[in-house]
Amino acid sequence: MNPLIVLAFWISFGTPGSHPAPARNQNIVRVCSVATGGCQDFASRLLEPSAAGGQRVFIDPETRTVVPPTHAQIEELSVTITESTKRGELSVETQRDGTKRLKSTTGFNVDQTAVINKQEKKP
Amino acid sequence: MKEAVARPVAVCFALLLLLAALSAGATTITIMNANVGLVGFNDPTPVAPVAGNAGITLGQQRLNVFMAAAAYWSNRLVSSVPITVTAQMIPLSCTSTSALLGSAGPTDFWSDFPNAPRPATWYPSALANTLALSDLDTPTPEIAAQFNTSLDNVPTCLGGIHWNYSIGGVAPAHTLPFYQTVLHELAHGLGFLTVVNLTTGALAQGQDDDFEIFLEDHSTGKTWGQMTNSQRMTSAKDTGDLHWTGPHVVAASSILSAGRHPSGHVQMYAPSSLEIGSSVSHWDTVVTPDELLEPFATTDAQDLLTTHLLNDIGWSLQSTACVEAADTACLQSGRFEVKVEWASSAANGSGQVMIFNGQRAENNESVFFQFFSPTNFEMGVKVLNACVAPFNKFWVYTSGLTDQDWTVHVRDTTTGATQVYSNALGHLSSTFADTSAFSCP
Repeated sequence: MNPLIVLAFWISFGTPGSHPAPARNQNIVRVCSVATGGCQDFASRLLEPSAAGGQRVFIDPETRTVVPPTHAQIEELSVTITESTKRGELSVETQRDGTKRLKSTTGFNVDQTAVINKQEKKP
Repeated sequence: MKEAVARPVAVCFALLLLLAALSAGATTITIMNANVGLVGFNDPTPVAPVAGNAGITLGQQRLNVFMAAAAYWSNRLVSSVPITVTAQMIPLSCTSTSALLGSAGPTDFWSDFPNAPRPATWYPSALANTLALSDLDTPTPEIAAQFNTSLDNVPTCLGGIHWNYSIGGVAPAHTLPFYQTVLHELAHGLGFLTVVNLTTGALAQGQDDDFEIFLEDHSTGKTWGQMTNSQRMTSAKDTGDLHWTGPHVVAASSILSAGRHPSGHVQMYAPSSLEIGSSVSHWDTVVTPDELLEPFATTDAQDLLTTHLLNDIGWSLQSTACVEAADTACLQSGRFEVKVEWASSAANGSGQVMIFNGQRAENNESVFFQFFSPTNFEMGVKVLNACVAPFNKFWVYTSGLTDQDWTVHVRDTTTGATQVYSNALGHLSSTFADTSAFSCP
């Protein structure tokens, strides 16, 4: 491994002192880099913020802020973010112990797409 | 020069050895940063810190968001088997009017593995590993995720709307909340989805999945496992009648003011026009308060049910009760857990509840903490019950007699909601009041 890359990786995490190394039995988020092969652990409790949120986003055309739409508003708002899935060809791989694995040629990912609505404003 | 380079290498190596010894007994979610080169999570473009995200490069801010979202789930779900999420941010399709924001989900589904709770039933990779107590396919990550960098890098992409990398804040105008997006998508990757073909109603390879077995159509009283393909097709569009019946959600659903049947069942998203990817695999939009896994983002969405749904499909949850300890206070009859992390220029640790004349400096509403010495008060926290009109909230106050870095974590053990308050190193603590901290009851 190129030591300079390792150094860059090390530096890229900023100030390790701001995230104390997790103690035993703590939940951990481990960040690894394919580029460097290195990993670093962080205590999950110190990473978690206070808020959560949903997925499909509607942005009000007037204020350009995220708003919860009514069904009537959905058609009038400027950006719609939808989720979709592709279901490719499924196959099952059975292992010696009877374990079965379901595979898909397209995977099982949920895709998110944003579209800016082009509708004219109603008078 | 050689020595200067060798030292961080040695430190890294020692760190890796240390980390290997730390992993037992806790839930670990590994983010495998698949970006190579100075792009995506490694993008060195300087940026100003944003709310909750102190990263000073674009890549660092992106990674910080991913870490926060992974932390959220690792703090709620129990897994003795590490969960690996391969993640990258790359240019994906984008025009001035349309963009693929990203993509995430389980890599595979498994059935009939050792310790499988239910035969002939598909479980997503991360959960299957957890239940099997071993990694069923070590080289393959359990969740794959990729998101679009074009929103940041291409000025014309989506008319200039770009990602917002704040953590825990509200996305300002003309931005999309990346944290909420990742949090939501990781939940899908952990199993918040069905693999039933909604177009045909067919089960995947003729087998149930661990999500679909808890779906019921109230108009017929049948569960999806009892239905024909045709009946499932109809049920997926039966607005208001498609319900989640899992016992953990039902037990928690009394907190809802809408979207809940008197039986405790909770409505799932079933618009009359099928939306592949959104239909069935989300809570109904009528659910109130707004829920994390609804198909529409709202600024005040909460996770009141989503974690319980993951519990229903097979995940074990981390202990939610507040347990009094030297570094933990339990206020308001144990409903609120209070912990403090501190850091000085030379050390760091957990704040300790002070002892006054042999008694913990803690009552039902307030607690005092010390960092360095049993007699040296540093900061205090109080949680007040203001669940009366017109306030209808629990209030949190923090204050201190210190300029050390501290971070207070207040967790509502009833809802799982968490609030975090911080003081920066070198800043003399000021008094802070959050009068909208937690919902009632």
